[in-house]
Amino acid sequence: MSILIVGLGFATMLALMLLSIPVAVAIIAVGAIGGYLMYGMPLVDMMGGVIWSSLNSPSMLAIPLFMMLGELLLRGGIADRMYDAMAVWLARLPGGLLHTNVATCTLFSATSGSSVATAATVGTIALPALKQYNYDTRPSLGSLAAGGTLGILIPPSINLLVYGSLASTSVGQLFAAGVVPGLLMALSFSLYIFIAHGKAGGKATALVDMPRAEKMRLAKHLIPPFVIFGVVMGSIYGGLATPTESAAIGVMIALVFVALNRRLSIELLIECSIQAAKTSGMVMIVLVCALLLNVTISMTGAAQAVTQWIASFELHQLSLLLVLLLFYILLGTFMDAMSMLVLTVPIVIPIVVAAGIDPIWFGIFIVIMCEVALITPPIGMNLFVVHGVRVDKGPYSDVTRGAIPYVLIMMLFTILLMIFPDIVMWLPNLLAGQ
Amino acid sequence: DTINLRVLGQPSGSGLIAQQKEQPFFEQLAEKTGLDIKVEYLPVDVAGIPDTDGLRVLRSGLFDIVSLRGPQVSRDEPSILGLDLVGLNTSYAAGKKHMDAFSGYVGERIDSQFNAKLLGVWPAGPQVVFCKPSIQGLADLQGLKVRVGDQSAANFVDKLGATGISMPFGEVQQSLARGVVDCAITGPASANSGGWPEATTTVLPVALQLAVNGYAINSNTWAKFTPEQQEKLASAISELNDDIWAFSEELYQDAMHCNTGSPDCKRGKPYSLTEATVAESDLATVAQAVGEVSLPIWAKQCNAVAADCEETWRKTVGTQLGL
Amino acid sequence: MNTYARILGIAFGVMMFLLSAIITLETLLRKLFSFSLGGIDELGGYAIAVAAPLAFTLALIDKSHIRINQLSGRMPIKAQAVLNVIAMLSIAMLSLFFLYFTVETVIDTRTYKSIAQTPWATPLIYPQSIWLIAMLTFPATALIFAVRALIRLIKRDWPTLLTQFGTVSVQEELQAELDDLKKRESFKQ
Ligand code: NA
Ligand code: NA
Repeated sequence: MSILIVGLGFATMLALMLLSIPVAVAIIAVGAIGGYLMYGMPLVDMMGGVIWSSLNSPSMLAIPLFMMLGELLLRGGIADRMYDAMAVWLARLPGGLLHTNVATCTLFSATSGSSVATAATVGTIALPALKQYNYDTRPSLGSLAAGGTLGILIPPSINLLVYGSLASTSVGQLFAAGVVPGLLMALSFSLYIFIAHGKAGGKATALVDMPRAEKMRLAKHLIPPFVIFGVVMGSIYGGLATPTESAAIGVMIALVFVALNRRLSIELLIECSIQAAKTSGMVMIVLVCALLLNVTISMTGAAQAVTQWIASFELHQLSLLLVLLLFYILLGTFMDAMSMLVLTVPIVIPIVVAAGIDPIWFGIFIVIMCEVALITPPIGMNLFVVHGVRVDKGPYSDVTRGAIPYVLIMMLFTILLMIFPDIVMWLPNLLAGQ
Repeated sequence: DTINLRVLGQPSGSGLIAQQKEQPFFEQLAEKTGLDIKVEYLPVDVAGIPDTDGLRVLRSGLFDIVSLRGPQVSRDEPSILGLDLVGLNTSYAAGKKHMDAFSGYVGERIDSQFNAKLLGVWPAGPQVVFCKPSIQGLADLQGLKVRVGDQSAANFVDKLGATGISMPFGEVQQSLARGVVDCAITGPASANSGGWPEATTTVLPVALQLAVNGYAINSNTWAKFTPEQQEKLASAISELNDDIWAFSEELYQDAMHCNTGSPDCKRGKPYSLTEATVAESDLATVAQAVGEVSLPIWAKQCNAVAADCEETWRKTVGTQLGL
Repeated sequence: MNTYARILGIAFGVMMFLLSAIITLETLLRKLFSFSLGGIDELGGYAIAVAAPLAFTLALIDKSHIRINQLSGRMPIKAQAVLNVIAMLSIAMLSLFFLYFTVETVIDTRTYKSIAQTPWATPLIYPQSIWLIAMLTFPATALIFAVRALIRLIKRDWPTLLTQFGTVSVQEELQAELDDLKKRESFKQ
């Protein structure tokens, strides 16, 4: 009975979303109307209190602060120069600039909370260079789309923040948990490039033969992202600041770098504010609506019902995770990553916790699922972004085909994490043990 | 007809009182009382409802019975703080006496303001002082930074010459370890599960507050029962309250044993804190705090919503203290 | 609408930058001088509660609220236009819901003279009143959008409904990014 209600609610929500009703509206429509039908006005009456307390909270504050940090680095011209510096140092590797794509995405990810921003920024800078040195189109586009997804795995990460609020899990621990898998995933991308596209970029000799002094001069552009990542993460794990406070400190340091870059102006600050407001507004409203839906779900006992239903199959931990892997990959083909996250976490968390899976580990799992969603056709934000950045107007299938190997790598990588969960848990456990 | 009772409980993971007393009690309430009821128990954090909204939720009837968290819900009803002013309840015995004396008035307030019936109050446990520097008594807090949970505790440590600092519970342990704060106030059991003894040296077991909680039922729900049924329900919950009072004290003793490395430690993790002896002067300081700090500040807040608040408090609790 | 969005953006930015500065100061003082300004976390909570509705409004003005276009994008033009009108009406409903909840909460807070149980003991009516004012921008804007969309529908102005009331297309978004990049590059020279 409860299962039926949950299924019905979920189906209604999906139907509304597919009719391109705003996701926030679809969520609250089911949450509030469903709740009203079952519990009447009392359920609706408590919503104001939930909205106030979910907005009036440090984890909500972290979202715009990290968005602002990313905007400052982007619009302050700090991110642009990273690529030039990375290019001259990595061009020598077999696969050349493709590694630069992944490495720049990795470093950019360490300062930005968003995958789309990562793909857009690195993509706009990289594609002209890749074209100039005659790199094949598909591998180039694929490495940018996939590399860009690292933005939400390597901390700071908006998706991990949102997951932390929904699953009541420590954001500091989640950020720590994202570091090793993020770097390993970047390495596996590079490994793939090494194997499959080792001959790419043979003509980029200008970069390889650049004088050492010039290379050193360019390397200084790598300092700001390293400093910001170091300060943000260091202040969290040094016990100096909470994740929210570290975001605020990051904003201040970014302002200093932008000023050193001679780009600081009122106009720039206003532009960053508007952009940060708009992207945070879009995330926060979905999060608030999901928290409201949560109340209805928990009141109906729906989560417990689904948990019991799943438990009745007596799946082994690994089989449960494999089922979830398939479920998320299917859902992610057409659903927006953030909507997928807020919709499923409240239902899925009790299931995985009942199965003895650590919620911190699961946070990383689900964020990798979001990454996959970003590069699976037909709907994948990073595919759109990278395709849109192309100067030549080639077919959309170029980018989707270029990205498919990375989807497979991510799936294999996720299975690796299932078998060796300590890859995720090692760093957070180490830091918690201090 | 079967009456559905939705119960909003203490947060999951808030401790053994909720786990071993509250939740089992409500889950077995139907059998225990023989009433034709169906109980759904939901911890407040699982429900996704802010615990500060306990009274508003109770009034709306979304939940029939709410396990009220005193410090949190006093946001909407300050008279609740009058049960547990800083310095008022220095022992379980004192706490029982004072809460019995004043809970009648709090019940009237909850009835008139939130359309609900108070079915008894209970203490989570004494809130005591944990310090990283070795201290002998309250006087040594002068010049130290103390993490406090609310405004009345902040006012109290301020009077001792210490600096009150507020921060979320989850951050206190690290802050103690790194010297962001020198001392912090909480119950020994929470301190034990939060690993505070790893970052501190001394516990001063002078109870500043007892951390009051309680049960209340929506009046419309209450009216669905016949007087005999009401009697059954009330006496069952009253039994639960008595049970929790005793259990709370047992947990307190046990957590103190664990924190100080006594072999009697049963439920917690053993540590080796020094237990400072509570001097007569410390008890006097705490007792004085009622009249000098916590009462005047609270009375002003409470009188602002209920003109007879302070007057009633003085007539009931105050006379016992000679105030 | 542009000036209006700019004002909202500035209000949002001022709050975030000031807060960042204060939080950084607090963290430094705490670390270096073991001194706390006190209550900064509480201040931050009120700031984001007030800033959030402004962000909702800005996302609306910029057509940034998440919508899934996979299926609808393949429908006939008129159907897409009608769906855009429905989307605008539904956002307006959502914003009115939010306003209703906000007003209800503020009325309760006023009735009970609620006071935050924090060292500052802030009477909640102050931050919540500002929250309410900020929240007003959301339904006000959403209603304007909804009415405009309805007028376009009555006039059967399909092109406008498609371009102005859909989601921001990836092309538009990228164009903006590329323009910004050009600005930055010209500056680099
Ligand atoms: Na990131
Ligand atoms: Na996808």
